[in-house]
Amino acid sequence: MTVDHKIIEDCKSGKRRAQSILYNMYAGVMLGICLRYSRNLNEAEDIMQEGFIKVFRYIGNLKDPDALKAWIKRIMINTAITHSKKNKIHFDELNEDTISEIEQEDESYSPVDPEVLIGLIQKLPEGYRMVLNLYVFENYSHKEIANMLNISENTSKSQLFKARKSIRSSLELMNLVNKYPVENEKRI
Amino acid sequence: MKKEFNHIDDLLRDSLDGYSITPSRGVWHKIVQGLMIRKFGFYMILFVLVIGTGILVLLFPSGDEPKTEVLANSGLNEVPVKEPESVTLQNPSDENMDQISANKPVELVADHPKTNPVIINKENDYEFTNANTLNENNSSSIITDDSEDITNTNPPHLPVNHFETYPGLERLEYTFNSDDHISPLVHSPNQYPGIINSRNQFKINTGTNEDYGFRKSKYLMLQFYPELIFTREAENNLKKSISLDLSYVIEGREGFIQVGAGLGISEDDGNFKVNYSQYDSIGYYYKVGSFTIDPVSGTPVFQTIIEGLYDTLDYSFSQQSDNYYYYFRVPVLAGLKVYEWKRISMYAEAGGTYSVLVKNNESGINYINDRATSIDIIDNTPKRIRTNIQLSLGVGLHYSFSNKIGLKIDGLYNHFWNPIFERQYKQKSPYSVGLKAGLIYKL
Repeated sequence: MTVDHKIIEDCKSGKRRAQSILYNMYAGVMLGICLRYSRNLNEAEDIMQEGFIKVFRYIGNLKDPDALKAWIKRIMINTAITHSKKNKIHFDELNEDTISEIEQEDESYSPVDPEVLIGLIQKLPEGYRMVLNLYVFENYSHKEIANMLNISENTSKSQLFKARKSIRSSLELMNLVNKYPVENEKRI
Repeated sequence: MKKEFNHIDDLLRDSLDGYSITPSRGVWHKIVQGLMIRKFGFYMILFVLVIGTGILVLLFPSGDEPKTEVLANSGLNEVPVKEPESVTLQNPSDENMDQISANKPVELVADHPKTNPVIINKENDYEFTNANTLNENNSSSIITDDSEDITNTNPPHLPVNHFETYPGLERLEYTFNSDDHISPLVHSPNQYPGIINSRNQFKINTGTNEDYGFRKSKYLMLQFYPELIFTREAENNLKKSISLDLSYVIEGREGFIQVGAGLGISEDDGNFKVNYSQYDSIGYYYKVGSFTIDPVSGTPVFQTIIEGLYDTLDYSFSQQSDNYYYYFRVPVLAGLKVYEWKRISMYAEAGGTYSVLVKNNESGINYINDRATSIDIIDNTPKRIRTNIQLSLGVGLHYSFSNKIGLKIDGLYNHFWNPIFERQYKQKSPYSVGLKAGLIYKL
């Protein structure tokens, strides 16, 4: 989806109608992202609301109008991280041997409804959820995540491991995990 | 074949890539509010400062008011005059009388310098008393009144430095200065017309009630008041209201008090859920109508027709209607003057409004569907409570077009004492902002 540059210019001028159009274009997708970072819909809407206020306040700083969606997404994620930091996330440590040992299981996963997966992610503890999102969806490395959240790389890995394990257990209960080997692939 | 994912990350990424969900309507309203708050943050700070200053001025007045209430307010205050030099005509001689007859000044001579005259304020009637009275022969005072017999009247000489303490007395200064030459007797033209001609006029000219006390003006004011009400709920949190208030205003030098009555109309959305069942298509299948045998291959060739599948399905949707609520209002507002320039006065204001719901116009909805087998309409419209109290803070501007007509504009922030809806629907007390504007007419 591309946005008419005129809409962006109008948003820079503070025109409410242009802001409304921009909001309607991206609100759905951004709420989908915010849902992953929050515990429920209300919290996600709060994050998105704060994020869009920042978008409209700082849209004057946007240099490349074609990168608008990525820019908005970046703001939403930063807002979500700020929001989570207010909640004082507790990160559990786990040693790397344990991680590699468990990751060696071979299995495959059947397709799952997005709503179900969102629900599973939302049930994760704050720290697990944050690292999972940043690693899996935003493609940050553990080093980058560690810097962003002021934690060690090991902590980031352990959070990710526990998040995956928790989701996997839930999927297993729903008979959505196939216990036969498809292809060995180790990822950390 | 079903797609399978080798890794849980792939499952997550693939399933949630581009996942979208429609946000509730209230989010956009909150964003707009947030933007407005940031945009008008400066003005809000200014607003708070003005209100704060007004409250401080109210709580801690400047203190330059006279400590002793004299002449202006109290009924029976005795005020010693510092320089008690009484003045009288001393043994009026024939020469004096001639001078008087010829309307020439008669010199007053100070007498009895040690006496202490007092000013007695009896409501609006002022007398100057002294133990030393005028000679019987000269009993006609310079203050005369045809209707009253005045005796023992002897105006004192008042020091200048008392006038700051006892405002209003300076008007007496010139008249009663012993160094002046005046024509004190009756019927002679007053050398200083407009100051003292008679006792009645003397009362007026002292002016203590008119000019130096609490000078009250009374107004009638008609104000139009559009208001935005924020219910602080996630959805549908913005209501609009319009009121027309007629107020009676009493204004003094420092501020005003107004009490009024008015009618307010508030709009709201009615919310209905419509459930209905309808016999509807749920799909189709191919029905074999006939078949023939292919003479070449000997296999049957089927002739099919599409047959629809129907069942009774449940449907549900929400529908909104426009509702109007009519309130009788009793606004009370007090203001403190914080700034005055030419014809403009600015006030810090505080008050409240008591509202009673007198009528509601809830339109409801009609849903007609001939194909529906059953229709159930559920009214989810929150019920409004009957009475409400708003507490208001604001800033008011008063512009006088003339002595009679003026314009009054009040920017008000109102906090509702209680929710506007019945407790089972909404829990939060709303707030509102509005601009009250109207004409004032001085009575």
